[in-house]
Amino acid sequence: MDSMIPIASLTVRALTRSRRLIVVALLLAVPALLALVFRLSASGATDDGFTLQLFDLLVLPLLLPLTALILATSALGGEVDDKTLPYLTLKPIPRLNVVAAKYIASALVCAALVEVALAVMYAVGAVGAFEGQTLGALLLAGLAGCLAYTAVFLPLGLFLPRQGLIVGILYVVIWEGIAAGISTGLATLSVRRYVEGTLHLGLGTSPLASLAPSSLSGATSLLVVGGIVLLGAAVCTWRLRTMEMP
Amino acid sequence: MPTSVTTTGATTTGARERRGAPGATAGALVNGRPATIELVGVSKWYGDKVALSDVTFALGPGVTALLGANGAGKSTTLKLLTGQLHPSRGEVRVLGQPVVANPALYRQIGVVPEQEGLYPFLTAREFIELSARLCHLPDPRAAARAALETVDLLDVADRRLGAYSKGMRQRVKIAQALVHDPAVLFLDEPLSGADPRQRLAIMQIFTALGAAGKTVLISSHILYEVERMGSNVLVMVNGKLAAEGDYHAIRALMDDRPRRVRVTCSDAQTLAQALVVAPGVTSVALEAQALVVETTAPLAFHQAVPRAAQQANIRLYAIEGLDEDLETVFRYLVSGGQN
Repeated sequence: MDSMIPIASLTVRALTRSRRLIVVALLLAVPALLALVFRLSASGATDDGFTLQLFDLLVLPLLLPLTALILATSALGGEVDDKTLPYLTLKPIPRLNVVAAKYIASALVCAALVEVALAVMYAVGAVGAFEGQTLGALLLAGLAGCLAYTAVFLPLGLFLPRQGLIVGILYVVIWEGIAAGISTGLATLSVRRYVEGTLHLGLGTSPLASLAPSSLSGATSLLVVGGIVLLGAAVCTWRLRTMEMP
Repeated sequence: MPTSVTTTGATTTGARERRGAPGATAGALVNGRPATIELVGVSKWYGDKVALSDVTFALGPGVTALLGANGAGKSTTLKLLTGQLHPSRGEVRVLGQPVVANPALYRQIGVVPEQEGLYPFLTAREFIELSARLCHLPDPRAAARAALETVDLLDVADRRLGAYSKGMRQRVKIAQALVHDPAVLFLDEPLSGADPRQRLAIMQIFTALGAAGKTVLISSHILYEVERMGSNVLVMVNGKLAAEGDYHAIRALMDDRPRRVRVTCSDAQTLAQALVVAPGVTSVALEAQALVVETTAPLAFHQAVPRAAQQANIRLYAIEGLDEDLETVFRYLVSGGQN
């Protein structure tokens, strides 16, 4: 356990110094900018439903998974690419600890950025109609999305250290963005559906809940998100144990 | 010091020139003690390409040089020994334990990897402290300080690694391998990039570690440096182990190749006339105050020289072997005995 803190700290430093962070920051600025445009064009309308729709149509299917993808593939894939992984794996630490530390660091950075972006988006888009429950629901769903997508993309960096980003972008756009949006059946196999479930859970009995419909119960969604995290960690640990470093 | 390898039921002392002979088996002894490093029938292939073929050796404490041309299998051997690669066949053991899927073993192993990669945003001190923490040392700061002092980087320890020269980065890599005082060290080209003064200091570190009972396996292609650290070698040729042991003893086994000996004396011409008929002498060449003799029977030659000098009343000043060095041995083995 004591070995996880230095690895997580190293990873946070690496991620926050990476050029990828600039790309992520630009991506995550888009919702706030759109919210601002909405505010200005709506000439003082007080409707926080717009921010929910922005989340459901842009952040959840595209920006959130892309953020997690960019950070998570870099966390381990970057070490493979930079040939620094032996400094972690040739040490007396269980591989699970390396994976757990990398996961925690990536999810932490991802969540910090996404949550700030969502809070700013909501603050800008819902001025005058501020609703704590709506903001809470957005933050809960943002957190769930960060945890789940980081778990999905962390192993990708080990399987495809160089091509992981491209493969991930294709997956996000085609599967999470398009396929899961047009078919309920396909959506069952997407992460997006379960993050939507957590959003619905957060909204509870709010009148805005109808803007983010979900056929899943909140508990089921949280359970599946937890399952995705465990599965991602297991796959990643297996890969790290069995992979060779030529 | 010649290597003695005991396999189950049989002991071989001195060097062995590999001619496809079977070697040590699991649980081998080196100089009467359990081997610290052991490869038993190890092969590594990638599809049709064979990187390592049926390599067997056992090593004990001390410095051993792993020699070979590019692509001979040196790095593959080191990566197999450190668990970075998994053998396609055979068994790899370090300190009697399997390497693969055994992270606890890394507490006793230090590795200087071949690759250049380091974390450019960390200072050397942070990097070495990180290594110390990952090795669960009780006082990582003190251990890092000691390791940095060993490689003479303490003065610049708070500079970022991204600003380090290649030689300094190499020393940082050595420091991270030494920080936990491992029993076994694997070093892949550890001297590359270091300036002559640094090289000398690093070689002294390795020699001292070997003398202190650590097992140090160094991959290198700079033969004169290897020669200064010790005489025990493993020579890889085309993915196979061509020879192992003391290179002086390996030279002695190269009996199909005449020895060149320079004899410096008071009357080279007369001595040359006397020695040309000595047993095993194949050629004699005259120099100013010396003669260079090629002989296939070095022992008989060395007995004949003083006898002939005494009979002809010639004063001998020096007798020196001209091809007893590691480079001669290495070139001979790499060329398959053709040169």
